[in-house]
Amino acid sequence: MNLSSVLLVDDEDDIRFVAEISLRDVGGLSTYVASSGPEGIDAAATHQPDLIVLDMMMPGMDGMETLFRLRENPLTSGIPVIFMTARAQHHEVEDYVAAGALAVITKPFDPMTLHQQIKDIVASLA
Amino acid sequence: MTTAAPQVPELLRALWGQRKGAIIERLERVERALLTPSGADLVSAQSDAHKLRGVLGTFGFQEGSIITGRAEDLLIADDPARQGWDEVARQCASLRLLLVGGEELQHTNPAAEESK
Repeated sequence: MNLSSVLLVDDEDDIRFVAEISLRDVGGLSTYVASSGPEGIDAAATHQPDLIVLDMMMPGMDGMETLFRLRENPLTSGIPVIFMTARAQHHEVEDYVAAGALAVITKPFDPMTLHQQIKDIVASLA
Repeated sequence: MTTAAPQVPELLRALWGQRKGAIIERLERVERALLTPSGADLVSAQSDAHKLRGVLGTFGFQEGSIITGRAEDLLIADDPARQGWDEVARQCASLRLLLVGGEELQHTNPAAEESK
């Protein structure tokens, strides 16, 4: 899989800003951002990113529901998703992967290495 | 590594400078909720603690994520005995003073480190 663009979906401004710096300025990836599940679904359909990094805990539509909605839409059903969460028990991570996420990244992340973490996950699927 | 990487620590420092005030206010709300839970909006404090848990370490304050993670766990469990709440409130207060005092970010610039 060629990874050149990523959509970040997170309701927390600070996380979006830091992750965007990490992926764009450190990782050299094109980045799109969205601050909610519905906004992320629209952005995914519009921009067709290679990958979506999706916050798990968001008000309103959470990460899991957003993932299900993405999978229902033919325009977005094939876009891989990595969940990001500050609070995940081992069994929850297994549930997220079983639901169709590629992997789960734990917050806090290191902005200097986040891009590499994501690239490694994608490379492991090749 | 891209050629833009050397600018990243500066970008992060600038972002921290912009966001620090709001983050400290959020931490203060968590601290207050732990100290006086009866008058506090615990759901809102739980949300604040969760966000701080995710963001402080991302800005380089790993200990901050650990402390606010403890706060989030206590607020979610909402134990009527409030065991440990005062202690974590004290840790939040120490952390807040550290941040108010201008603690620097811990991120290094790999490109600069390599060139030394």
